[in-house]
Amino acid sequence: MLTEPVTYQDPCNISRNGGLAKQGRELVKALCTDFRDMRDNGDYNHCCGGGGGYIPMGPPFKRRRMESGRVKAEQIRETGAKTVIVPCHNCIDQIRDLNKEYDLGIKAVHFKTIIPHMMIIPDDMKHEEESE
Amino acid sequence: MAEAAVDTTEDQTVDTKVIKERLDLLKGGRFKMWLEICAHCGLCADSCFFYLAHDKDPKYMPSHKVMKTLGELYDKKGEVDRATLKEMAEVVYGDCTACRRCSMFCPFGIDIATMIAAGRGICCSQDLHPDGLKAAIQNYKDTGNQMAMSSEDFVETCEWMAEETEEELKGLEIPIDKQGARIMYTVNAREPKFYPQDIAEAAMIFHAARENWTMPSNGWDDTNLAMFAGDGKTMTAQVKLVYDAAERLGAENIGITE
Amino acid sequence: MYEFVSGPLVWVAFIVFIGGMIIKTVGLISLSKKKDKVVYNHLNLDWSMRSIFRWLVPFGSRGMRENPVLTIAGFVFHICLLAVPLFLLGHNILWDEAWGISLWSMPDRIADWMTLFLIAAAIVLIIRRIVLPEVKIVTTSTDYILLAIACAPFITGYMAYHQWMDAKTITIIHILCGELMLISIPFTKLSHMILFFLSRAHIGSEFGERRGTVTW
Repeated sequence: MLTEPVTYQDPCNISRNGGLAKQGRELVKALCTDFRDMRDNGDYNHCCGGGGGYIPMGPPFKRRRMESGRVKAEQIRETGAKTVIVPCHNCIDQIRDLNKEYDLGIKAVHFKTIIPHMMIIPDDMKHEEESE
Repeated sequence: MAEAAVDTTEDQTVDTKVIKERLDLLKGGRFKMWLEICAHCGLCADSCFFYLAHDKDPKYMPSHKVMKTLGELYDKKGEVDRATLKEMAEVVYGDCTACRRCSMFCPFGIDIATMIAAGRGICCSQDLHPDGLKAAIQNYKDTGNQMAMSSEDFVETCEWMAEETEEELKGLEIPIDKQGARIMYTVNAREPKFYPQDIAEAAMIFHAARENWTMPSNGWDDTNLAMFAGDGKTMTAQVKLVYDAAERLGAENIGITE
Repeated sequence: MYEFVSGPLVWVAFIVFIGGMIIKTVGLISLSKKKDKVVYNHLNLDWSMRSIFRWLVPFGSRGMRENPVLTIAGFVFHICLLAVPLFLLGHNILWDEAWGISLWSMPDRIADWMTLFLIAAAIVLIIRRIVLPEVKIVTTSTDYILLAIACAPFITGYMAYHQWMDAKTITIIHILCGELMLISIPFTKLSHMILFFLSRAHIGSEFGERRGTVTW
């Protein structure tokens, strides 16, 4: 279990345009003890500022991407979270960039980065030396 | 005014015939209605993070962005020069991510992002989409993924990851092209290219959950930058590639990466 | 003159308004069936109704709650705009004489106040257009013209009722303004009185039926 404050980024394609805001939250709550939702969360969440192909558009758009990402940076800062769970490759790149740009002091991770460390491993999948 | 980021070439031509055709094709019941009924009420402004991040500069408000691009194209019946179209491209690619939040705040429920996407389609038809997306589109066309990875490289990466991860979870495999799986898992091409660990992590979760899953050797990239660029043909081809893979393998579901 | 504007011209206005709106609505729907096929595989009555209802009830949506001034002005404006002409005693007497039909009618004193409320609401809407940068930038001259077209029958009606000018002249002007408004509806964005429902049904289904998310 994560014990430090955790927040959750609702990617537009997953929450507003995917209808999975609730499921995402349930999963986050199962993984941490101090979950803090952002203001404007769920279906109402703001885009990370890197969506719609903004990140792959590359360096010519970087400065504008950082400027317009201010809203997301503020949203994250307000929660006081140390870890942001981000189930989207696009959002995670943007949030890591924002972390540097706005000095947020956070770690952005995917679900799949943390779940393997927390899941219960069935006995038959453990190697001998580990089960000793 | 932000610096120009699209089309730094000296090309000055515009094929207005193509633009007109596209405008005509787009103008179904929805677009016609939306363009006509927008009451210019301004309720969409506060929904947009571009607007908020620029200290409520009105030029970033959603309906204005549509009026200045697709709206103007219809007003001028597609008769625009390249300089104007370039300005529009800066807006549709650089001032909106098509997140669709504004649609939740429009009293008439106008799907503003869809109109921005239509604007992108028109800019793309004149080769005005950003270079980064152009490169990705070429890769999709050549290899079926945005990172131009060959099928062999992809399969090798998966095998390598399976080998490494088996040390942690006994019996772990990354089944490639397995028939009749419940989930055909697809990824972002950046994963095999830059973050192969991501595939290993997903494999661990699938394995621990005893999931019946597979990955296709072809049609595994679930990103679609062609859609963001406004290139409908490549967009469709890419989606079809993934669906064809699922059909070929008789998979019940297509899983997409985070 | 009075005979003409209150006789044949009324017929013309109603035929253009009703006929025009039918042609327009049917035309848009059939066009969308040809060109927007993608809409129809997820059109859903339940989501459509919720999407419409939420924006028909004052403060039913988040956007309205965050913009109370526009919400109040907007609802006052629209309620008066529909209620006064439909339930005015004078109008109902005319319909009764002409066609033998009439609706419930409200006391004149209430209609009088509602007219003033409508004009006040319109002034708020105009001030918004001038003062708020995000509204000003999207405002076109058409927006002002349509507001004027919608308000004119009320201003002239008020003047006629209170006999501020030559009663006959102002009544004729009032009827002409009403007819102008009716005729304008199918050809301008005033058509949102019907298209609002189509547009909201679409987005409600697009978000709700396809993704389970709300648009209010």
